Amino acid sequence: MESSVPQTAFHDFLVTDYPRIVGVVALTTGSRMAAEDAVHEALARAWERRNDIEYLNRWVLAVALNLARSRWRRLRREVLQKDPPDQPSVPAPEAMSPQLLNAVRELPARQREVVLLHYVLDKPIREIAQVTGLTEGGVKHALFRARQSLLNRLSPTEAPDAAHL
Amino acid sequence: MPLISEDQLESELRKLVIAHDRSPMAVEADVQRRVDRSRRRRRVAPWTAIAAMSLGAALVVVSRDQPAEVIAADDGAAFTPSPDSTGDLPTVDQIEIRTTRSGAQAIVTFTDVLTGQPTFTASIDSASPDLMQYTTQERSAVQVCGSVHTFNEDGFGSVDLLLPESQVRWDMSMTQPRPVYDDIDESSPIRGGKAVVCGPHAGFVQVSLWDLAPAEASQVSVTLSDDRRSLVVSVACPAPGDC
Repeated sequence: MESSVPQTAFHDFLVTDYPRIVGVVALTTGSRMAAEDAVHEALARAWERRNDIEYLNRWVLAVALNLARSRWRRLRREVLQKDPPDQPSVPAPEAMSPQLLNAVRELPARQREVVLLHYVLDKPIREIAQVTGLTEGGVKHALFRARQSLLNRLSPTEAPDAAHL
Repeated sequence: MPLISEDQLESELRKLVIAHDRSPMAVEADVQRRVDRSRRRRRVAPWTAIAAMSLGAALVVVSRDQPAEVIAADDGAAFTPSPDSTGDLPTVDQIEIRTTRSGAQAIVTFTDVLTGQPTFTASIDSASPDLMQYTTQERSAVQVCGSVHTFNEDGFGSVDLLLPESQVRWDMSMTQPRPVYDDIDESSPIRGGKAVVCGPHAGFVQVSLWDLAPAEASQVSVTLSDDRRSLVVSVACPAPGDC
């Protein structure tokens, strides 16, 4: 990297924002490798446009999600019936609830993005709307539906093995 | 009723984000490589374009039924050339796919005016070869000129225009897709969508529009533009946040 001020901002991003953004993009797409690729590519583009970017975090997140959606779409879009289905490549950490992971994966893509941006990245509704292209009302609606889906899926009446929650 | 609280949900969701084991230096090195590669690409781009134009004249060999793909958003792919002869029939000239917060729209424009109005048919198999028709297909089995494709996970189905070969042709050697998203900021949300053109097969040229939004017939309309040169496909989102 060349310029001292952007270098500092980029370095800060790598230390503070990068891990969680990669994690969220990985959960969004189901592929950790695709997530890293998307975030790195977004960072490279951000470096080249650093004079035009106001909020590095938000810009990289938005571009990475765009790239990941596009890449994921390419991967999944035409699987002939004779081919085996793609396998998700997000490894399950020890502390993870497999049931929650499955529930998140089964959410519609837009709801999954919204719920992860809200709960994991602490993004406010307004910023989620900017990143996803939804209206603020649309974000609230998607968030409500995602939350309902997850809570219902994880409730003991429907999921007896979720007692640890 | 659910018995876990929202705080617990938030806490558990955060656990899903796996601790990252890449050092910032390793990430920075990879990003730097990408920046360098991008700069090298820009330096050689004009020469590549000239070479591609020279090669392009010699490489126009595509089977008649081979689907040509137009990918919107940032995929940037171009039409595949076809050896079809156009004759005097209206020919697919360009396809634009636009996504908005409330849905998506695809505009298929022809070189000449179309005859007839597009009508809905319940399935490709029941389509009449004499009529301009459209249908929708589930993501689990999208028929495209005799091939069956499937979408995984969040993929949407398709909206398909079935255009009688007696009325319409496609000749991709004459066309280039119009960039649809080049006027928006790179960080703006995109949803893409994809157009596959193929045929004639079973009497039809098929324009299959993939992945725009839930392709339920009730959310799709296809109309002819006032100048009769374009088919306008509108796909509405069932509800905010569902596209």
